[in-house]
Amino acid sequence: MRKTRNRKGQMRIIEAILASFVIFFAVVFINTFAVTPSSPTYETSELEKLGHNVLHDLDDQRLLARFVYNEEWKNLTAALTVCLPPDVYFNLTIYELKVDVSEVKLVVVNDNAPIYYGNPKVFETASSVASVTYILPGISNQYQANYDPRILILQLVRG
Amino acid sequence: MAGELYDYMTGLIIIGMIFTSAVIVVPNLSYVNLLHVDQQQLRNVALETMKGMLLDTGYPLDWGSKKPFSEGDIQRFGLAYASSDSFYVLDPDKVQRLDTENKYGSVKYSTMRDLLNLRDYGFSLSIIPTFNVTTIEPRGLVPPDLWIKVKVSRHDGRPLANAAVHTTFLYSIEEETTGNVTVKSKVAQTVFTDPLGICEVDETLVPPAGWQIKDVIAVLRVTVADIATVVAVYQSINDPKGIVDIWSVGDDVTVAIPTDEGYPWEQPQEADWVCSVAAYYGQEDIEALYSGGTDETDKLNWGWGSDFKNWTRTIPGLKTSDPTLLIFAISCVPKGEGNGGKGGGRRTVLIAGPSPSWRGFRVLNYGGTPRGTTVKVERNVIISGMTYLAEMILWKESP
Repeated sequence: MRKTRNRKGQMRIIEAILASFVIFFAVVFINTFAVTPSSPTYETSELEKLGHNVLHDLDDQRLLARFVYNEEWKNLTAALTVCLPPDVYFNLTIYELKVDVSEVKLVVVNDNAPIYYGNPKVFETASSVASVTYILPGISNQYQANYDPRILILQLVRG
Repeated sequence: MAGELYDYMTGLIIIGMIFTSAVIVVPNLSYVNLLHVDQQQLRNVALETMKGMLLDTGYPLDWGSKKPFSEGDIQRFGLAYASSDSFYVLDPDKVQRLDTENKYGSVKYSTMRDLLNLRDYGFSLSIIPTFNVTTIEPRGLVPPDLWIKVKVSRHDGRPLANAAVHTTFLYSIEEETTGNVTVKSKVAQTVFTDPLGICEVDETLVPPAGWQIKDVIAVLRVTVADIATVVAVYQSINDPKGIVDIWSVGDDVTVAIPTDEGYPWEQPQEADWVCSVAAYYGQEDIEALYSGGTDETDKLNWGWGSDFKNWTRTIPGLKTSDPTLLIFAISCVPKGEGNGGKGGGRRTVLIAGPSPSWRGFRVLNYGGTPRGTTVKVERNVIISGMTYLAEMILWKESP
């Protein structure tokens, strides 16, 4: 009789231990599904803001339109390189609108002269890439403004 | 009965151990997440603060240009230029108030934290050029043959090739018979940096017959894809801080002899005179603003009884024209010259101002010292037509 009571006590202890393990593993399991905030390294919204700030700044100084419409790709690459932090890689693609009778096409302007900094493979392998779209409506001089839009797509990733 | 008690006690100890280890292990498993939450929170605060600082003009709209300046008058903090209709254009007067050495009024770090409602956080703000320009020693700024080796690099030290270095040599000449001093300038040929980011500038200065070159200052305007930074290099003095302090607020320019923290005893007792002031807008765009001399009206001194502690002039249109640098010809006795460092050796030196923009940066490490987990936010800003990098590091202060 005494032996039976002893075993009951031991079973309760084993049950309690097993229950603890079940709870513990449940917590660990749930943790793997938890949505974590982005780490600074892979944060895209901050990079998007930074990219927009740099393009806006160049535009404000009337440099961006000059580089794009005069196709000064080396200058544009150098300007983006010095304006963006050293650990930020970029890849810029510039499109122009080609209007046919029936359709509007986007054609890459800098197809033969890629504008980038860093290893281009980073953009293929990175888990998240920030992308900024900036539109230049046209170029103007002292006397007239020509509507000739260019669409700039700036991709950014931290290296 | 005793055996049962031992069983329960053992069970209790084991459960206690499991509970304790769970309390330690589970938070550790979530540590990375907690860290990210912490950083995310910091980044949000940093982004909002930076946005407020750079896009808001603050209130009063011209708080940086108020005379006399009192930080208590600032009701809302912001550095944006009220007269600009574009984003990220900062008011040079407001930015200058972040220089804690500005004797004519600056905003204290504690005041700024209160204004920005950042009591639980610490921050450090710098407004620096988008790339570094340094001169490599030795340099030869002794007339007639002048040469300087310049290095242009990114902030991580990587050299910048093909940067254009536009140099203007400003020099003071004195007429041997009358002692009249005048400032001249000569633009050197533009040179470009090599793949190591280095280039050499050389020029020969020949004074007119009967005149002698007294001092030389080289102003380097370095551009990478037309994004410019400007620094000044001196012949006679490496850091003009010990001779005079130069501040400019609105249309007013003030020159004073620094006298705090040991300076009075090191500073020569002779008076200084402001001989002339010129504005540097670009390498070939230098305009004479003021012509002074060695009369009482242009005199400066630092003694207790002196009536000439500050030299202040209002130059109409100065703020609107927004020159990159102001060049002063000061007749002075530099520290350490003659009579045990207290006299003799008077000469006319050229000094660039206002401080610290002649060094290329606007604000350096304003605020506290970063500690613990920090986040960094960067934005490009425009001050006086030049692009700078505004960099803020934010952290949580321990209670």
